[in-house]
Amino acid sequence: MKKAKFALPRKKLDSNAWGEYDKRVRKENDVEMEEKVRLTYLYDFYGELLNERQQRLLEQHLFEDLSFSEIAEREDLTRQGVFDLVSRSEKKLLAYEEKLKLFEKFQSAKEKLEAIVHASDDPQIKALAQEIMDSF
Amino acid sequence: MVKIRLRRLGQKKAPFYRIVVADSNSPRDGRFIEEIGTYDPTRDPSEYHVNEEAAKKWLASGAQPTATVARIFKATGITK
Repeated sequence: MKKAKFALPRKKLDSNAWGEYDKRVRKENDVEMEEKVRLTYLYDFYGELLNERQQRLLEQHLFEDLSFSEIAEREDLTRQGVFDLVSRSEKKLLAYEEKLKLFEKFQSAKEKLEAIVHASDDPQIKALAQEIMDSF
Repeated sequence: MVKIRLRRLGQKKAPFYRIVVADSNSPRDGRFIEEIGTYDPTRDPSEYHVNEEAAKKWLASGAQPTATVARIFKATGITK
């Protein structure tokens, strides 16, 4: 394409402003990623409590990273239908966590057990801590 | 359409992901074209590893990364 002869001068953006914007976006992205990982954990804890259909759709969304429209195509539903079902299931998982806090407890227990494994030289204690960690 | 997406592996309560290139309608646990990286959220901070050359090659040939993969690419500094 030919360049326009009298192109309007582009507004110069404050480079600092872009940096700020970028930082914010990156932060938002990280949060979203973490949220997805968190939901997979919650699914591992409470997934069995969902019905089969919810499990199947949520698994496709979380484990296979499919988009709503791809799931819709596979399941012969509408995109909107999939979105509703998935977000309802996610809400359910979050509600369970709110009440039972299994994931929260699991995380703090795991951290402490890891600290035990690191701090101890006794192989027996290490083995026991490892065993407890694996039993969750 | 060819997509770049995450595939979950790992055990219950220990998620681990591979970044794979796959056809958009290949089946669950199904075939994928190439594995180009990994993502391990269990480490703190989470660890990822991407074969940049392969990623760039696939992006250039029009493979669509999913939103989550795009985030990882962005963090490693891979752009189209």
